[in-house]
Amino acid sequence: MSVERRLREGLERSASAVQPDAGRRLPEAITRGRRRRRARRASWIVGAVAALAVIGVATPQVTSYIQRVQHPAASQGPTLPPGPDAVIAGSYTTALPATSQVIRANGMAGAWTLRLKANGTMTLSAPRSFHGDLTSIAFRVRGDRFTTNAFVNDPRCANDVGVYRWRRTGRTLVFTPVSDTCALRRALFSTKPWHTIR
Amino acid sequence: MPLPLAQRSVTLETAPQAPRMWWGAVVKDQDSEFASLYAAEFTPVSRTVFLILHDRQRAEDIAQDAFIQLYSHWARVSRYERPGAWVRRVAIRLAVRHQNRERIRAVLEKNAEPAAVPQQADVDLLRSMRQLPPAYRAALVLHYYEDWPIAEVASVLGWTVSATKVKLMRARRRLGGLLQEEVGEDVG
Repeated sequence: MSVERRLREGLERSASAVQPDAGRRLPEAITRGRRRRRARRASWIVGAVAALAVIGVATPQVTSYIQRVQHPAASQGPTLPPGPDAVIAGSYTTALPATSQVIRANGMAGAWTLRLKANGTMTLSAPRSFHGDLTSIAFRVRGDRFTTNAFVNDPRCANDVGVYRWRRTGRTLVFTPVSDTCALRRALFSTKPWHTIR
Repeated sequence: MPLPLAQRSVTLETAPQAPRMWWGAVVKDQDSEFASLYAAEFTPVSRTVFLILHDRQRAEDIAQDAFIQLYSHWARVSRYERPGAWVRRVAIRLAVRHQNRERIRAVLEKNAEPAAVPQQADVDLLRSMRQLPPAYRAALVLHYYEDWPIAEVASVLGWTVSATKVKLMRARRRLGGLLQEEVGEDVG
């Protein structure tokens, strides 16, 4: 007899010896199958919840990172929460006279330009005689209070913010100090009124 | 005009049960389809697994595990053309994996006592097949007992068609030597 024939006949004969009781085992298969399906679904749900949690945690951080990359000035130094800053948004200029010791000593005399943007960021243009760091600055307006971190990266000013009361009349913007320990900032904002450029 | 109280209570009682009844019918249909397949295939699958493992109880347990997997995937697999082939593949893979584990355990524990085979079985053939690696055994069973074509055997065992032919030839030669039977050359 060939091996092939022996295999076909021998396997058939051997297999016929197995007579399982399928009817007895069926309920167990269904019960355990249901349990397994529930476990699989539960693991999907847990996975989905975990994924959503990761997205929930990561999204603000990614958004914040993108904002930092796109608007470095607004996101460095002491951060100020955004507010209804559009009310004061615009470009202003002032000319500081060399009347005070602070202005003279720090080369601040001359024309300054202040641009306040509706998103709470700001830029300052200084006279050529001023040598200081004017990057990463922002402001916030709450009612009549104007808070700014201008000069935050300048070693001559402490790493804090100044608070002013602001009032605009026509094209004139006036800042009155409320609290500010930075002499440069106080001199810049409150020595002379600012005038709207556009 | 407001409904009479009796009519309202009927509406309230019957409405929530409608979806449950509908879902229950779907589950019942699914279970009855599964039960039909189980009744038709559990014995053949158990037999195929037995020919690989040579252990009747273990074969039934592995076939059962394969059907439990089938049930948990039934919503998808029931749409296949041959759900029976799916469960067979799962059972064969489980059997080969189990047998590989058992071989290692037998070597480690120096306890290679095989399970008792039924009296009507071809004991010499099964004993000779035990000399072969589990995957070779599975290939012989699928090709000579299940009559699967070489390509399908290759697909289940993760081999190429040519490798499957070579392994079947080696297995037959080995069996031929052990059983002192002549070996043909044709495969497939």
